[in-house]
Amino acid sequence: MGSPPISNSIRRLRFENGEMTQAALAEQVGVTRQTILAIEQGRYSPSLEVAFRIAAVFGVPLEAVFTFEPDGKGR
Amino acid sequence: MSHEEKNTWAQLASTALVTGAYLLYVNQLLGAGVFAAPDGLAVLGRTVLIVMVGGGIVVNIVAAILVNIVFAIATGDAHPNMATDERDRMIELRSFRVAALGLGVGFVLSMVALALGQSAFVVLNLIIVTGALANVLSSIVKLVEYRRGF
Repeated sequence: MGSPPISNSIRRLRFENGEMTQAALAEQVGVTRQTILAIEQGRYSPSLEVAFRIAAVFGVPLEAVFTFEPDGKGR
Repeated sequence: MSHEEKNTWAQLASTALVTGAYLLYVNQLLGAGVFAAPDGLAVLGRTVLIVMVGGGIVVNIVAAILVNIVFAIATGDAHPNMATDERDRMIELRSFRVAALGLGVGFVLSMVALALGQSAFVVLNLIIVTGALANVLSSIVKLVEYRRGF
């Protein structure tokens, strides 16, 4: 199966939030660092709950973190 | 590498080791004519319980400890995160499906062997070996999904 058709801005958001590490984000979201890495690289589509938790950590709406790209432009 | 991924490597190694040891031991017993005796199937049952089940549990625990020690030394992280999350559980479920499919195929193959007149010894070992192969395949699927994503 290819990459899911969902791109995300987690890397940029981490950068804009004081270069937050993947480990720090993972701890706040309640997942492993490997899962944050997989999401960031577009290798895993998180559950809706985890997606909302990530958005909540950055204090932005969900669509500011994830973008659905059904035409296959997802990372 | 996540805790679950490391454990999968340990499981893969221990399954290969224990199955190899089982096949070697059974081959020796077979050569000695043990299974031709009236209690041959009882010996096979005891061998499976001791080597595959008992030995499998012990070797898997030892392998998991060794893999975690090796990774702790290699990464310099003395306190690795042992947590699991939704991705680990999803990968576990997907690999379990492969294992179940493998076991099902093994069972059907065993029944075909039985229908073709093979002995109970052959049929039982076919079930055991295909079970081990299903376990290996399930571990490989898990490792691929950890690396490739889904």
